[in-house]
Amino acid sequence: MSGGDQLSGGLALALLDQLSGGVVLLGADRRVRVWNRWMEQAARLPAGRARGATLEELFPAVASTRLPGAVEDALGTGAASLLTHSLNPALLPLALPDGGPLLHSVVVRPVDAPGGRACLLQVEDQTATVLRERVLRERGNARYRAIVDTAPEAIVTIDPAGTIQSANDAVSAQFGYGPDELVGRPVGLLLADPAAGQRAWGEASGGPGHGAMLELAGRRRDGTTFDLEVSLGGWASQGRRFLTAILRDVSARKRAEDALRRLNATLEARVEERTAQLRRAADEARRAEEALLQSQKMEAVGQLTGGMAHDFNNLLQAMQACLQLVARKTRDLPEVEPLLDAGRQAVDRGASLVSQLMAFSRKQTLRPKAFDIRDALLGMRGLLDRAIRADIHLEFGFGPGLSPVLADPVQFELAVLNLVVNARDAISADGRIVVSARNRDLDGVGPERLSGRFVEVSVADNGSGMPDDVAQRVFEPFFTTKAVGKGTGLGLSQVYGFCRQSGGTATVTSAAGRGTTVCLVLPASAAAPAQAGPALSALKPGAGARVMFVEDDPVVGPIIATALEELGYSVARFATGEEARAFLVAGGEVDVLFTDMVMPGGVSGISLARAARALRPELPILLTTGYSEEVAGAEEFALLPKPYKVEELSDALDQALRGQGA
Amino acid sequence: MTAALPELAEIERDALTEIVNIGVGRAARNLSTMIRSPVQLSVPRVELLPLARAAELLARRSGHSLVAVSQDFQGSFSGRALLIFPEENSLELVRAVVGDGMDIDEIIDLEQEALAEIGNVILNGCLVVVANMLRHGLSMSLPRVVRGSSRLVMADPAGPADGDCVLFLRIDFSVAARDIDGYIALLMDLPSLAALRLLIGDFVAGIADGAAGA
Ligand SMILES: Nc1ncnc2c1ncn2[C@@H]1O[C@H](COP(=O)(O)OP(=O)(O)OP(=O)(O)O)[C@@H](O)[C@H]1O
Repeated sequence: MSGGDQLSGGLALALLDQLSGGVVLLGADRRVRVWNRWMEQAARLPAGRARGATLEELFPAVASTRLPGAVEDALGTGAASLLTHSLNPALLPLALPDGGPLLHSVVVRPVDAPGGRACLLQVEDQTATVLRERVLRERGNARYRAIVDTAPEAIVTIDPAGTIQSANDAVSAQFGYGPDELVGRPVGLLLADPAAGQRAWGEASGGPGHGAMLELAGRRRDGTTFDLEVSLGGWASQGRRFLTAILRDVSARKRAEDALRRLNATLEARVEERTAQLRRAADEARRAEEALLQSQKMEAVGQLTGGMAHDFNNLLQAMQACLQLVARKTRDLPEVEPLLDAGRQAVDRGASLVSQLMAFSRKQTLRPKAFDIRDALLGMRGLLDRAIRADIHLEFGFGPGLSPVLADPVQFELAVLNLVVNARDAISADGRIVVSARNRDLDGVGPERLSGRFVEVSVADNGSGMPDDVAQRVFEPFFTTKAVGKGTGLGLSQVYGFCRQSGGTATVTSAAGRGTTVCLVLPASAAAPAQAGPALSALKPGAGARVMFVEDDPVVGPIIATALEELGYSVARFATGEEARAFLVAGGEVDVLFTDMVMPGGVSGISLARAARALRPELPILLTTGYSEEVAGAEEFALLPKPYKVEELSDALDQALRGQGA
Repeated sequence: MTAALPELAEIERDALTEIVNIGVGRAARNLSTMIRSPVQLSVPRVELLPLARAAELLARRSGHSLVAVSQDFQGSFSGRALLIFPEENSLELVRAVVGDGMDIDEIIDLEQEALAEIGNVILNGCLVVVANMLRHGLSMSLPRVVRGSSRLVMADPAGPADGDCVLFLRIDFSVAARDIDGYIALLMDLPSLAALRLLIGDFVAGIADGAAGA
């Protein structure tokens, strides 16, 4: 290779001209020795003009760059330098053929040549590389930026040291810092507790593909803090790891959650309260239902006893009439008289029992009238004193301006007597019974469930009292705690039935060992009390009047018919309404019609009475029944309630015959 | 061997620290010119350490992910100069130099060459001053960027040499309101170190002479 070792100067320069980069050689005097064709074109400066000049002479702006220093280092010391486009933009005024700026970097190095040390400048065209990078970057960024720049959440990218490398515009709204202010600052700046924040981020930054959600407290520039939800994603670029964090202000959501939580908490309280309300309502309903059941039970028992009492009544009616007939037939046999008395007493006792039953079943026939409670009670004093024992003190107390009541006075007296006897039985020794009366205006609430003006009569004792379960059942017929044969269990049921039938009610208040108070609540009357009615008239002979007697009962019918005949009436007896009507239609002779109201078959006592009135308007009519409800709708006719004594019947017939009495 | 590593005399250490500070001062001026914003560089202390020990120290102080700009030098003493800092600081350094207005992706794109040039400016600054002060020329290569552990960035491409030692200098950058810690390491073999000490000795003597003459 000898002879080829040394390049001729011309060949060397020709080679330099072919290079696709700038080559400038400066001599030890800093003047241009070589300026290749690339430099001529890029700098628009022919080598002829460049040669011999210093760089500063050619391009005065170079003086303020690092280039002269680099040239010095190369020539003076032998150091090589790199001047990049990034850090030294537009180092030399070079241009592309189209006039656009030519982005370039320059490498400066010493060249030790035989003629002494020189400095080589290599200029590299970076335009294409820089543009390509920019295009790639922008392409890659376009979508990211479109999202990040418009996102309402603050988005920051952090390097592994926790330094913010980029931040979107939303940070200013959320944190009060401009995006540029944040770049280069520690991310802890945005957190209420930077240390805790850094730790959490450290743990969350597993690297590319790792994501995490953190709940931290954020801090604004003004120092205020707020709830921050941070989504972290790790990624890598050119071997470098980054975290991109989306910082969401969730204080509104947190507030909403808190509110919801509070709401839930209070919801429970409200549900409890409502439950309690419902429970109370349910208890109320249960009590109401119990009350209803109780009243239905009373009603059912009432129906039953009412039906039985009716049948008993008829039997007693028959027996009474029987005894009366026997008495008439045996007027000459004094030894029969005591037996008859015993029989009469038994019948009376039976009748009173039946009437109590009837009272409870509210099927007794009441004759309500207005009367003065005070007079009635004081009038009973003697009777009551006899009923109690010597060791019991009986007191009366009356409220001011007592209204008269509208009720059956006989039943009332019976009720009070009953209550006083019960009180007496409850007092073992040395007690007190207070009978009092006062006006009461009721408004529909309260245990009475009545409204209007009433008079309350109470019988209070300081006796044994009753436990709750007993007190609840005292009004039931046949409920008694007394030994068999000692009590019927009908006393209080009569009281209750009487009060209810009168349009009032009865209540009991008691506790074991604390005495008992039973109250009768009776409607006040607007009318003034009536004077006592006329006494029952003495038995009168029938004087041959023709009685048309209609009674279906096979026992009662014949006996009453016989009794009437004994009284001097002439009796035409019929067992059904049809027969009786047929008799009237056929023009049968008759002075008075006496009929039971309840009869089997198509024609009841009432319809018979109406038919009779239609056929013979002047014919006196007397009805009888043991059922009070039948009375309604029959007010136009005289009525004799069952059971009746024969005297009462003759009295009623007399009145009817004398001229439409009653 | 480490045992054979000579201690630097106090006066030698002071002289070297002084020379290097002049060098980084020059580098700072160059950087300032380049980025048109003040840059301060200072080297508080110079240590002479065996290579393995230096690598260990570096790992302990700066972690395992490092970035280094390396330049070879050749002359009456030869070796390799490294500017080293934790990788996590490198973007900051680049950003400090190129300015905040730049997008993170752009910075990543130019990080490599920017680091190379920053390293080049600083290392040249040091070495040129050292060479000039010691009145001996040094030829220096172009910079290249190496990443990895301290052992990796300090490894001699020609293979680790027993007894290689490191002049280890901490360097504080203060650029655009940022403070970044890094290290300058001058890797040399023992003969080069001996040559350097000789030159330093001459330099110290020269100063003493100058002082006496004044
Ligand atoms: N003043 C009272 N004090 C305590 N218990 C009473 C009182 N009045 C009634 N009782 C209880 O109520 C029950 C029912 O009373 P009720 O008057 O209906 O029938 P009785 O008194 O048992 O029987 P009778 O009416 O035939 O005497 C009684 O057996 C008694 O246990």
